[in-house]
Amino acid sequence: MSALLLKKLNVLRYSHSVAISLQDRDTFISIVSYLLENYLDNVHSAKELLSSSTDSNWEISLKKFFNENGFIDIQDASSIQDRERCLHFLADQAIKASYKKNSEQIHETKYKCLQTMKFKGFEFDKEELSQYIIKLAKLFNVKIIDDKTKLDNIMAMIIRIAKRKMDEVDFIKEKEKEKETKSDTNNNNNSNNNVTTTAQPTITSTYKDNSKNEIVNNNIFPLGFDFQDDKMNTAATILRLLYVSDLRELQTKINQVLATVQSYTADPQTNFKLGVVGR
Amino acid sequence: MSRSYNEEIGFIEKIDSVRYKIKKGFVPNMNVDGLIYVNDSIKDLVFEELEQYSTRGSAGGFLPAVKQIANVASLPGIVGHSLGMPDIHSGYGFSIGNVAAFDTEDPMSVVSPGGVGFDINCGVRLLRTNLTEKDINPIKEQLCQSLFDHIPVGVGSKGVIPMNAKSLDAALELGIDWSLGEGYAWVEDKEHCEEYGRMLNADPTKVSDRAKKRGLPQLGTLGAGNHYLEVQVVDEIFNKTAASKMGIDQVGQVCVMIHSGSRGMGHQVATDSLTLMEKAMARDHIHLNDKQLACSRINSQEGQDYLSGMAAAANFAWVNRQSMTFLARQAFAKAFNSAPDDLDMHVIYDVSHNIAKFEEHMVDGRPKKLLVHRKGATRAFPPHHPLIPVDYQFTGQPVLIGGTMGTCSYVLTGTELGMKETFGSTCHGAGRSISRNKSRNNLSYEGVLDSLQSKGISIRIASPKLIMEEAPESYKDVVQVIETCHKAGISQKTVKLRPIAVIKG
Repeated sequence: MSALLLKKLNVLRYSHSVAISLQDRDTFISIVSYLLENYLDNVHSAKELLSSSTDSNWEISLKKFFNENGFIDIQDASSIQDRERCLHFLADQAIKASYKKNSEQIHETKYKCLQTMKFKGFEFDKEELSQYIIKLAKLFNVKIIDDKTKLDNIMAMIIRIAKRKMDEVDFIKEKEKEKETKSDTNNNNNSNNNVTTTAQPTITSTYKDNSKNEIVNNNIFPLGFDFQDDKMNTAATILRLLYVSDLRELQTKINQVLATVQSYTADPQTNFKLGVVGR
Repeated sequence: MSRSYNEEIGFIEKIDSVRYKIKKGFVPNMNVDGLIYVNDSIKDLVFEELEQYSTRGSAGGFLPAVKQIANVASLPGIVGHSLGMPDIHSGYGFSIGNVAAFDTEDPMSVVSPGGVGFDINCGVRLLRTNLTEKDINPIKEQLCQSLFDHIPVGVGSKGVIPMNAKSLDAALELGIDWSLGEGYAWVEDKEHCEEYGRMLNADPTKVSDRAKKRGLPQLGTLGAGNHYLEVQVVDEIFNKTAASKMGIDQVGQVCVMIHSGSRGMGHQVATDSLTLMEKAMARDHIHLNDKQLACSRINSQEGQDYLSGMAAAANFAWVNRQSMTFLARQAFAKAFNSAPDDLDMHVIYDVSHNIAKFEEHMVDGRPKKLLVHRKGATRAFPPHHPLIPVDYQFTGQPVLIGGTMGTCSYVLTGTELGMKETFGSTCHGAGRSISRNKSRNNLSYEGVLDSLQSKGISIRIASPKLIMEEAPESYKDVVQVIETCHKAGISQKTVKLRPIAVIKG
């Protein structure tokens, strides 16, 4: 079984004590049943397929289930390849269904989760970690409080300061660029005078990317920021385009709903006898 | 003791060709510096006002705009700068063209009706069409008359959309969602409005009966003053990609611009709140440089009530502009004998330039929730901001800048720099340069009309005095206002439009 499928099943909380083998018919049936029972019970004829899990011709029922719902084509449900394809497909459907069902809660708690996840792996009582945090705190000029229980607060402060420092990178890059231009001018002047100099390495060199990949036009789709790296800019632009197209689809659906409601409620009226021109 | 002009000007420092800093000390108790954006062509108008004040004292009941910018900088809880856009001119308490943001985490922070203006959610909406100037020319006069017949204008005008108290309450609460439900809006219209055409904190119970009574018959009316509906044609495209995202693809394409607000309703909400806040200021120990800056702590009862009432009035303004959109579509449909969707009469965008909103901005490297007051200033969010429609994610928010009766209007787009420097704000129009009185005295009715006629502009107007008051000569040069914003990088030029037909109060 592929690692990706295993990941998907883990996300869907399918528990298994031993390694999953798709060669085993019972295991395959049990995974399919688990997905149908827990996530896809609303799909047409899912209940029939679940009730036939002990039948010897279960594979025929599975094929029929896939056909009736317009899912992918299963040629041979006893082959490992088709079993894996089938599970991939059902797992994807299950994830979608689960997301749809819990989307509100997921969005509400996303921020909180991210906050708690930040420090999940940290054990603040470890001496070594405490020392590192204190060193970092000194580096960032954060006041050190001896109370160890406050270390997570100090860590949060350090992260906030570091993030702000990251925002200054653009400024540093600009400064370095200016320096580079100046040093180029100096070099030119110096070479005219036949004096040899070595240009100082600059931060900008680490941001430069000489790839010849196609760049998505920044003039037409401005990002509002510049990674100074063609690959990154292109990737960010593509992500933005995808996001905006999703947003457009969402807005169109909202408009469709509004139009449907409007067709029941709208009754615009005008009465020109009411109109009075002022002075 | 009053200072000489030279002493006053000593507090104003030129940063670059379009930025001037008003340093602390210019007026007492300034918490932050002021920052104004003007280029060499329009700076004299701003500084002359200060010079007159230094020599002859304040005129017309208002302090000079730069003094007002500085006074706002002294309000509690203000962050960043008190900002003045290139079209600044004196207004009630806050100058028109002032942006000020207050930190909501600071319990001392305030909300001020003067920072929003009396015409709550006054704003501009732009519709596109698939027509060109050639299509319009043969029937321009009939179309202009038809628009005038559909959309009542002027002080005391009454609209043609039947309303009752119950539907008004629903409109105040739901904003453009009310128009959608009733069928006065297309579903795509909502998508292209700032705030999606509805402020969620609106509470009609916080709007007085008097305000409701004033608003009830006024739905679908333009109002008077500088409000207008213009048929415009695309004169120049500066950014082809952004323009095409807005559905503008050729010079000569016809658009319709609507500039209006919340009519008497918004005015009454502001007046009611000012009365209550003036009383509450003594209780809350708020001391001001100028009593016109009347304000309340954001979290006080008066502050919260104003914000809920203001949001309801803002919703009324969106419903009002939407109702006029519905009527303009009808007028065009009749004139061209086709359905409005066959004429592609989609809303490009709808901006609000008199409003206070809770927004998140970076202050000293940290995200903060601020209450941003924009009075005569337009929100101009950059590309990829989550609060702008999906269609404009790559271009930035369209910013609609109305010119004057005979001059050009512009569509700009928001920028990252604007987000950092001005809380994502830019100018809102040309901005008056001389008072209405002066305009009436200095300009002739026939002269202004002749000038408009020579430019090929048809006009229908309810009040003759507005011809002089709203003449281009009464305003700053809109081109220089736009150039200042473009040069400063707080917004970028996208499209220039010129008027061919105007209806006004």
